[in-house]
Amino acid sequence: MIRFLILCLLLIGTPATAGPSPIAAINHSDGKILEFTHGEYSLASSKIPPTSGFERAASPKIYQINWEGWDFGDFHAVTGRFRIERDALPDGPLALYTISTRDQFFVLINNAEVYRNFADVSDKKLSWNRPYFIALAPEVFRDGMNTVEIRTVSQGSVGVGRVMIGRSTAVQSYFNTQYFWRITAPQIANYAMLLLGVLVLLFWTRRRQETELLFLALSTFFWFARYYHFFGEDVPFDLQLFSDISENASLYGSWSTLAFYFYFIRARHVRKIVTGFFFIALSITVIQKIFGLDWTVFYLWSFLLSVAMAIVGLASLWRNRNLEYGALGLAMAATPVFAVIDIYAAYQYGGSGGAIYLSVFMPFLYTFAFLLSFGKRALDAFSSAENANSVLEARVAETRAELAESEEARQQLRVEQAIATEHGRLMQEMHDGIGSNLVTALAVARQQDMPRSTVKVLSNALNDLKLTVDSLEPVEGDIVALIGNLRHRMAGDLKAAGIECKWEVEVCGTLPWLDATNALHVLRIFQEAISNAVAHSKAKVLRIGCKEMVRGDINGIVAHVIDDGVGMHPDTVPRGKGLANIQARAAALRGVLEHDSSVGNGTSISLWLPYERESLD
Amino acid sequence: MIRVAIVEDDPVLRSVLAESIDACPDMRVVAQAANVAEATDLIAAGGYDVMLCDLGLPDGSGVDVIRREVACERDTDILVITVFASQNKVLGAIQAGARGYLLKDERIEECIDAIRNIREGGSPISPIIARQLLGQIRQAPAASGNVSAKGGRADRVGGENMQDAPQLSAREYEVLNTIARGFSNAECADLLSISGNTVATHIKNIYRKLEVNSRAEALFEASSQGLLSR
Repeated sequence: MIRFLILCLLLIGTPATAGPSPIAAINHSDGKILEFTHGEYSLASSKIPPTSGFERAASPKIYQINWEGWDFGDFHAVTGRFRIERDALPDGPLALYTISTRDQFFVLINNAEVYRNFADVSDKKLSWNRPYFIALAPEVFRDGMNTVEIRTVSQGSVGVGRVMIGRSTAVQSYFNTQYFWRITAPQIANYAMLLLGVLVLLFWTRRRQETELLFLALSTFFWFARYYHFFGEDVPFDLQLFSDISENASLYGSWSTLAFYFYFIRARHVRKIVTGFFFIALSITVIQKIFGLDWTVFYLWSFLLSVAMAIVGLASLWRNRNLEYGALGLAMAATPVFAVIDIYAAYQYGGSGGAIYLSVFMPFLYTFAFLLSFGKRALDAFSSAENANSVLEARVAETRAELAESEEARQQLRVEQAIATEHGRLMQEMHDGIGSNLVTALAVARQQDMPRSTVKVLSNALNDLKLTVDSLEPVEGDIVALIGNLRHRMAGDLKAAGIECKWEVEVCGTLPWLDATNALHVLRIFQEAISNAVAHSKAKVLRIGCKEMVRGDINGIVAHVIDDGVGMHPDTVPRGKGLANIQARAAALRGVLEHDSSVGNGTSISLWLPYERESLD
Repeated sequence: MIRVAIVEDDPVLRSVLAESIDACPDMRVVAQAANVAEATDLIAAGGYDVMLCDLGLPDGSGVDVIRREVACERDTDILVITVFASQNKVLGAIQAGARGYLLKDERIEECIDAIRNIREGGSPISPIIARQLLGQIRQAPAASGNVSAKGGRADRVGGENMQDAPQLSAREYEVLNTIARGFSNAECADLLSISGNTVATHIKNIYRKLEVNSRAEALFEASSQGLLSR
C-alpha cells in the first residue's frame, strides 16, 4: 500500500517520456535501495538492444510462454529500459540487483555493457529463481539522466525481473539473504536429501522386504530432479529434455512419496494403490506429450496427491500420536499448505521471484521426518532385540539354576541313598551278626543254666542293641510313638514282674529336633526308669505317659514314669550311676529331669522337653 | 493240633524253638529247614499250618521263602523270626505275605502265645509299625462306620491299577491310630469298645491289605514302566 502511494506520487510528478522511471525506495538497514516499478519494454528480436519501439509497463515484466502462446524452444528476446537521475542515486559505491531476469541476459548502463551472465548462446542459464549481484563502477553513472538497459534472451518464458539499484553494501546484504534462501539452502537440503536417498537405496538392497525404503529412495531422486532448476545455475544438458524431466519429475515424485508413505503406514491394498497411481502418472505424461498440454496439469495432479497424503497423514497423526508416525504425518499435512503459499506467491509476483519458494524444502522434510520415524523403529527393534537377549539370558540363568538345583538334589539323593544303604547294611549286620549271636548266646546260657549274672549281662547287651535299633527307626519327632514302642517291647517284662501298666498319653505335637542320637537319649532314660521300677519298686501299677506342658514360657512335652512301689528315702536315694546317667542325658537333650521318691510313696520320674530348642539359646 | 514248620539257620535257636513247641500239647513241629534250598523242599512237601521263618538265611533271603509259600495259596500263617522288630524288616516281610513276627529273644511262652494267636486270627504289631502303616495304606474316603473290612471302596483318584487297592476301613484306621499312640491291644479294645480278638483280627486284615497294596503298587510300577501289557 505504501509502495503504491509512493508510486502514485512519483507518477504524478514525472513527464510521460524521457523522464526518470518510477522507483520505489526500499529502506534497508545498510542503506537505500531503489527498485524500478515501471520500465519500457521491447520484444525486438535483434541481437543488440533496440533504440525504439518501447512500451511502458509495470516492472517486473515477464512474458510467460503459456500466456503468450509461444512454443517452447523458440528464441524470444526482451529489452527492459529504465531511466534514473544521478541525484536520485545514493552516494558511494553502487550495485545493481536483479532476480528472475531470464534466461541469458546482459546489462548496459548508458550503452556500456557492465555485466553478462552467459558466455555464449549455448550457455543455457537457470536464472528464473536466481538473484544476481552486479557491482557497478562509480564512473558508469553520469550527472543528469542515466539509462539502464537489460536485454534477455530465452527459449521459454522471457522477461526482466525485479531490478534494484542501491548502495553496494545494502544491495550485497539484500542479495546475500535472497541468495541463501533461494539457492544455498535449497542446495544443501536437496543434496543432503539425495545423499540420504542413495544411502536408503543401499540399505534397501540389504533389506528388500522394506519396500518403503525403495520408494523413499526413488522419491528423493525424482524430487531432486524436480527441484534442481530452483537452485542450479546452468542447464546441465539438452534444454528440452531437461525441462521434460523437471516437469515430469513432479508427477513421479509425488507418486513415489505416496507409495513410500502408504507402505510406511502399512496402508491397506497398498500394492494396488501404488500400481494404480503409477499408471495414472504414466498416462498423464503420455497425454501431455502427445497433446502438448500445459505443464500445469502435472502440478494439479501432484497437488491433488499431496492433499490426499495430507488427509492420510492427519488421520495417521490422530491415531498414532507418537514420533514414529507423527513426524511424517506432519510433513505430509504441511505439503499442500506450502504448495498453496507458493502458488499464491507466484501469482502475486507474476512468477518473477517475489517470494522465496517453500516447496523446494518439502522433500527434504519428508526424508528427514522419515529418518526420524525409521530411527525410532530401528531403536525399538534394537531395544526389543536387547530385551530378547536379556529375556534369553534370564531364561538361560534360570535353567542353569534349575540344573544346579537338580544336580544338588541329585547329589543330596545320592548321599541319602548312600546313607540309607549304609544304614541298611549296618542294621543287617547288627541283626544277623551281633544280634543273632547275642540271641544264640542267651539261648545257650539259659539252656545250660548258666549263672543269672551271665544271663543278665547277655540280656542287657541285647536290650541295649534293641534300644539302639529303635532309636534309628523313623518316627519324625513323634515322641509318643517312640515311648510307646519302648513300652510295647517291655510289656513282657512288666507282665512277668506282675506290674500293670497304665498308659496315659494325651495328644502331643512333634519334636523337630528328635534325631537318632536324641531318640536314643530319650529311650535310655525311659528304659532305665522302667527297668528300675521292674527291678526294685515292687509296684503294682506303673503309669507311663506324656502331655503338653509350658515351662517358663516355653512350650514342650513332659513324659513321666510313676510307680506306686516302695519308694526310697530321699536321703538314701542311691546316687548311683543310673540316676546320674539319666540326668546327664536329660541335660544333653536340653530337657529337665525331675526325680521324686519317698518311702511308701513310690517313685516318679518326669522328663520335660521343649518343642523348639532354639528358644532356649 | 497246630503243625509248625521252622526255617532258621541257627541250630541252637531252632532246637530251642522246636523243643518248646513240641512241649506244648496242642502244637507240633512237622518240618525244619536251615536255608532257602531246604525251605524250598519243605514248601513243596507242605503239611503245616504255621511257618516260622528267619529272614537272614545263609543262601538267600527269608522274604523269598515267604513269597514261595504265599504263591502256594495255602491256608498257612507265616511268622517272621527276627532279633529286632525293626519296621523295614517287618514291613518287608508282611508285604511279602507274613502275618506277624516273633522276637528271637522273646520268652518262649510268648512265642507259643504268638503262634496260637495267629492261628486264631490275630497279629502282633508295634506302635512304630502301626505309625508306618498309617502312612502306607490309604484310608477309605467315608470314615463313618465303614467297618466292612474286606477291601473297602475303590478310590477313583488313584492310578488305574491302584483302583482296586484296598483301603483302611474307619475302624482299622482307629485301631492303627490307637496302637501308634502306644496303647496295647487290650487298651485299644477297651477304648474302641471291641474285643481283644477283634483288634488282633483288624491288625491281621491290615497286614493283608498292606500285602495286596504292595502287590498293586508293584503292578502299577510295572505297567507304568511298560513291563506289562494290559
